[in-house]
Amino acid sequence: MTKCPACLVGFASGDYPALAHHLVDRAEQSDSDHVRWLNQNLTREKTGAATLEPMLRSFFDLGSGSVKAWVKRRFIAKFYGKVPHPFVVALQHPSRATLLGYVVEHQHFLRQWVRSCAFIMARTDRPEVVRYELDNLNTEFGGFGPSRVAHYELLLRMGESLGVDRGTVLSTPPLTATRTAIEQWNEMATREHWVAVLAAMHGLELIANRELIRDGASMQYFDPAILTGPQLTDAAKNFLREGYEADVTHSDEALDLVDQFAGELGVVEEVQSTFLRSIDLFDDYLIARLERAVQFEA
Amino acid sequence: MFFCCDLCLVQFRGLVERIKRDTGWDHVDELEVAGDRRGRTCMAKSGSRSARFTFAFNSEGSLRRFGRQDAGSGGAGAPP
Repeated sequence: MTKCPACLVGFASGDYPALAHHLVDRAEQSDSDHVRWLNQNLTREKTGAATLEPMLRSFFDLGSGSVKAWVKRRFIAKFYGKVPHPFVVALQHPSRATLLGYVVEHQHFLRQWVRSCAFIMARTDRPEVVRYELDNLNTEFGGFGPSRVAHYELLLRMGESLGVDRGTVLSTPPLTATRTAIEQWNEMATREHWVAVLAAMHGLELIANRELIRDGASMQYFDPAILTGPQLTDAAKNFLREGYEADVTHSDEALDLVDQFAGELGVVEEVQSTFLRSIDLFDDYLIARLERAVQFEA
Repeated sequence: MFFCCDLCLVQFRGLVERIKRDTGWDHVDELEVAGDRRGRTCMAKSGSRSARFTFAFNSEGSLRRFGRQDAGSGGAGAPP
């Protein structure tokens, strides 16, 4: 099924004329999600459906590559292109405010993450996917005991090391963009094909995949020198190091599963559009981290 | 004026109001905007006065960053 990357409404497989007409129609109604998607991915010019159709075919064409390669390419273009995402720029040598913005917003993301991964587990019939999600859930949220605590706990400890107690963090509601994103991710997890949700959620872990440099990313998530330098607290280093070390495997393993099952189950188009919607939400959510950071600036 | 979506309208209104507040102008005659969603600059004009700004919006269209691009330019004109 072909899906609109802005609203995930479905069309017959390969029906790019219908998708083009839909995008044009929604843009003419000035729907911001559709206008934004067109502006940021295809063209800023007002364009008719007949011209849009071949542009869509080209955009979604895997060529001779895999779904995984296409996902990486789209992710790099959005977050690690010539003008990287502002949050990534801020995280290269992060200030206390940037890290606290990260802590306060990311707690909400991680709590939704648990639910999204649980939906994947509940809706798949593949034991290797269940095993992958079980490991991921414990890594991110459950933990493996006192000697290997979860990322969620490391996040809260990072906040404490920077002077904000976890009670304050946990009682702070999300900013609007964060709340919108987690609501839509939850909706996605309940409604879209589990392979598409696998791509939509674990594709986001590409943000911390340091190997993306080899695929053309303009920078890494942060300058790795900060893990050994004097600028950060130990708790901040521990939190960032976990993602630095884990997210190569996390994202690659998930995208290998996506490659396998998207083809086998015939849901490549669903995967592509759901992933695109997810990274638009992620883009906004990362900006929310920066907005939150302003509250901690001296 | 034509806006492609309601978000751009919110952004435009917010930007104009912020420029007026920052400069003390009671109206803005012209805006030349450059850049993209990662960050923008603009030259604002009001009569013979001008000022440059850098800014960025959040996903709801509100300004999340705003500042003079050149502190020495454009602010010299007294408000009417």
